Amino acid sequence: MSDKIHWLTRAHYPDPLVDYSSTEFIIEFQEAAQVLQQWRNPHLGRSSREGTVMSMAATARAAYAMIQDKLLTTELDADEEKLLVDKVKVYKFMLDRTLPEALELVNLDQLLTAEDIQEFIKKHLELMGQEYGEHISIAQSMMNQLESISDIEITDEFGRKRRISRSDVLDVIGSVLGNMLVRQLSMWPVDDIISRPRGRIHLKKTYKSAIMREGKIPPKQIMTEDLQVVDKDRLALVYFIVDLSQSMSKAVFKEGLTRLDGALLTSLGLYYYFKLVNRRKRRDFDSFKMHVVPVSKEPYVIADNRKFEDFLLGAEAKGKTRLVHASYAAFRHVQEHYQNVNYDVQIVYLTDGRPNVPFEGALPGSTLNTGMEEYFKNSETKTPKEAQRCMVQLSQMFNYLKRNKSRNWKISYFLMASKRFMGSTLWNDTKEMLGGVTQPILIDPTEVDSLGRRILQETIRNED
Amino acid sequence: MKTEQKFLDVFNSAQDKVENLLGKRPDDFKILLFVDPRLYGSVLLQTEKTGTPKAVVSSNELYVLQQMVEEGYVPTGKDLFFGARQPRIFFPGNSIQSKMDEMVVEAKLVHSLSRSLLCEETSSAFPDTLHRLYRHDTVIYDLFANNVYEFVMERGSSWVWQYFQDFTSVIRLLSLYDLDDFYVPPTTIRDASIFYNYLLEIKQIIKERSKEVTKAPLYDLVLQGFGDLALNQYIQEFDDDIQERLIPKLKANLGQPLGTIGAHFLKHHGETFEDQFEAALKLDNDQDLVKIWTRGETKDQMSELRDELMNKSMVWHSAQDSYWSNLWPMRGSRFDSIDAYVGKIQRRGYKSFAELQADSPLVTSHGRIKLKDREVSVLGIQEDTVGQEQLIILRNHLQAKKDTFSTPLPGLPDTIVFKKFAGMHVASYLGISDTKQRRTYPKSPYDLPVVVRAIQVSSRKDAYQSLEREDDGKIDEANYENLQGLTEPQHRAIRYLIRQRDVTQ
Repeated sequence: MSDKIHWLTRAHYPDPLVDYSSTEFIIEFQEAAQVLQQWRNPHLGRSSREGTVMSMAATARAAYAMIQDKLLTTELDADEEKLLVDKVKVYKFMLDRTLPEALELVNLDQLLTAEDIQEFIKKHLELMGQEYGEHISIAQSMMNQLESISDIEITDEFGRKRRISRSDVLDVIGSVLGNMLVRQLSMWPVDDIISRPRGRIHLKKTYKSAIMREGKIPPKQIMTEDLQVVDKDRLALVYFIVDLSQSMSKAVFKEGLTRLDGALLTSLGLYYYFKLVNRRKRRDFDSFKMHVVPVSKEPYVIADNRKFEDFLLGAEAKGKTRLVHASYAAFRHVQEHYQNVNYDVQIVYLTDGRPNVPFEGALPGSTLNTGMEEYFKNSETKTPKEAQRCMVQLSQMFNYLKRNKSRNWKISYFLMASKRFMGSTLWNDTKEMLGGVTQPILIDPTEVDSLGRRILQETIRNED
Repeated sequence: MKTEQKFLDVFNSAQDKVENLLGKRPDDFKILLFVDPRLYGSVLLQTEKTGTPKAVVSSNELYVLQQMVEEGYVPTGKDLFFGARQPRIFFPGNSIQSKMDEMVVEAKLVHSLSRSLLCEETSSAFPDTLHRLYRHDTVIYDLFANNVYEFVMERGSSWVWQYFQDFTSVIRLLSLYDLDDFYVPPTTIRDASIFYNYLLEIKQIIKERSKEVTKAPLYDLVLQGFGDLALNQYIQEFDDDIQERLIPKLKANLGQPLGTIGAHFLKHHGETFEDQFEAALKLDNDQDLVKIWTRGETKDQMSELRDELMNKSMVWHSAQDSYWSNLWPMRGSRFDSIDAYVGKIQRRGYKSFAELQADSPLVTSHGRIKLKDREVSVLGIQEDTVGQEQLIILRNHLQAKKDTFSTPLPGLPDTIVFKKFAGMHVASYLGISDTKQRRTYPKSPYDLPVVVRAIQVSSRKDAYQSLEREDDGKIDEANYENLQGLTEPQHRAIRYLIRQRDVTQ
């Protein structure tokens, strides 16, 4: 062993490129909600977007020089060399054309949304193609980093600033809110157990069955008849009916959060939660297929996940509350698009509970007597006539769906309001309307912790 | 950790080869092998950026370099050789699998060991300077790490790491250009807190370091040229077919224009290799190396060498079809930039780093703008050390008052910094808005009502028109007379930023 040779480990030679200063940013629900609110006003944070373009330029400049260095000093095979040469070209183009223009646009308060940025990228990919006379395949994915312009800046407790991407925030909201709220929803696709020796065997059930047959623990043997097999997982259709009426724009929560913010956050949370579940289940198809039905003049159904998210981030509150129309649109959508009655349907309402435009025409269950009309007649309610009519219609429809034997329909009804709302006339009306179908749930997005506790308590009470 | 016997054998044989080649072997050097090859990549990048393997990099630069590591752009084929008086030879921990590996490692070691011998024996001041720089940086690093540790442990102020890191590296950059005067705290403040003590202490050491850097002779061409020459001499001893297989593996050692050009000059300093070695030992700086030819002679020699390299360099690339269109132009431009460097030191007789730095400074000061209530300093910084976040270091950050750091110190006023990235020319502004209205004490130097903007400097006449504020009351009060060395678009960008100061955020 020569005294000239020394080994270096990370212990006595710390990595100079590790950023020890970075403390984990732990976003809490409250902050995440505020950050999302900022997204809904993209005009905030221009200077931060400018900073992003600058840091991209710094990275591109460093990469441009370093890749060339790598090409000239490091042994590479032909494919690697070609890839790096392509990358050098893209970085060059970005530095010369794309980033300067991006900065100018950001200066002018443009390039705000993901769509703007995508369009910008598309334009520059074309320009790049013209410049080099060829299409560079790696360019698309490299240019996509421009999407981080739409990230939002947050400040830590010491005043330092960090940028945070939309998906990071939504993951927080998804895991916190989704976990809390999902307890209320009975939409898990049920694993049906059938006695059929084909498919994946459910060990516990099979074992239990054998014990039951023999009356002994442990059972001596397992017969074919004991075999219990897991049926295929079922699919659940989720329809979010999001109230976008004028009344939703009222700020009723802390920090100036409006009802609409609450509704959108809740649905985003659920949406992300289900997306997560879909990912985790690792099936060929998604267990939860999600739709959103905006409560607008002409209700329509958004089934595309990407549009779904954009809608929830960009929605504005205006107009009247056509809750019945939206419900009917969802109902029609199920009937037209999903013939397979094995699909469960879960309709999730996110509203302030003031429907005011009755549906003209035939609704499912319009002949049912749900006792709602009598309820209004007997009580001295101040609820306007239109609202009464709407609630009767909804009540009829819910009852019809509940009694429908051909398909599983489930309803969840979230009311965006603070605690004071409980005990008001509208609360009682809503409770009556949902009688025998489900319970209304009050949502105060700023008090998600206590909300979770309450949901738990209520679930336990309902089970009794 | 135990070193492989094979590596030891190769190392001993390389030492013998160097002794055969140069008559003696280097004595006082270190070979540093990394258990984790990724750490080698980090140290390589950091040394190339800052000059020594111990210097602290700013968080902005750190972020950029981290990105490079993540993307896999690190030129890992490069050998890291730190040519101080006690040279350090860094190697990614390697394992020798085949006979070929043995030969490659031996050649790389011969390359590094011959340079080590030059560093040990040369009459130039370069290795000593590098040695002192390394020592300064080690002291700075230790002070930095210990102080941050104390601070975080005592007060749980996690911002200190980034702040001290940025402060250290920004001052290091600015003091090279004598622009660090904005931070002149009274010495009595040393007792106030370890925060001030650190800032004072570090500034003094950095000042000494900067003096060393500027005094340092230009020596890269001699050092790398000699390495190239010695390695070529060593390779000559092999049979042709072995040479043919070995040379493509030595891309980082033989395929570098810097080494080739340096070696080309050295060859004309003596008839035999021994003479050339003796001559190399006597060279104090690159100027001594290149002055053997007039400018005209050099131009002819360089264009001949360039043509020769054009065909020879193909062995180092496997994508043969894109060699002429893409790879050679890169090599060519690398060659041209070194050629330009040679031209510069020949024409102007530069010998030290300070002269070169004064010729094309990375940091320039353009003067100050006087506003009614404050001044705005205008700088040009072509360096990654100072990003937007680091501007806060320049600002009078110590207006932040809280328990332990409560003395207002003179700092720079608001700043406008110009920076170029190829086709992009950015003017960024950092200012602090209405500090008087603050009700609470800031929690850290970062917790200030900061106004930051970055705009593209454009020569288009209508670039900022649509953005301007309607009431232009403030403009008349601003005094732009003291600005110098700025172009017309830069002037207009400054005016725009000054006007936008109050309307942004």
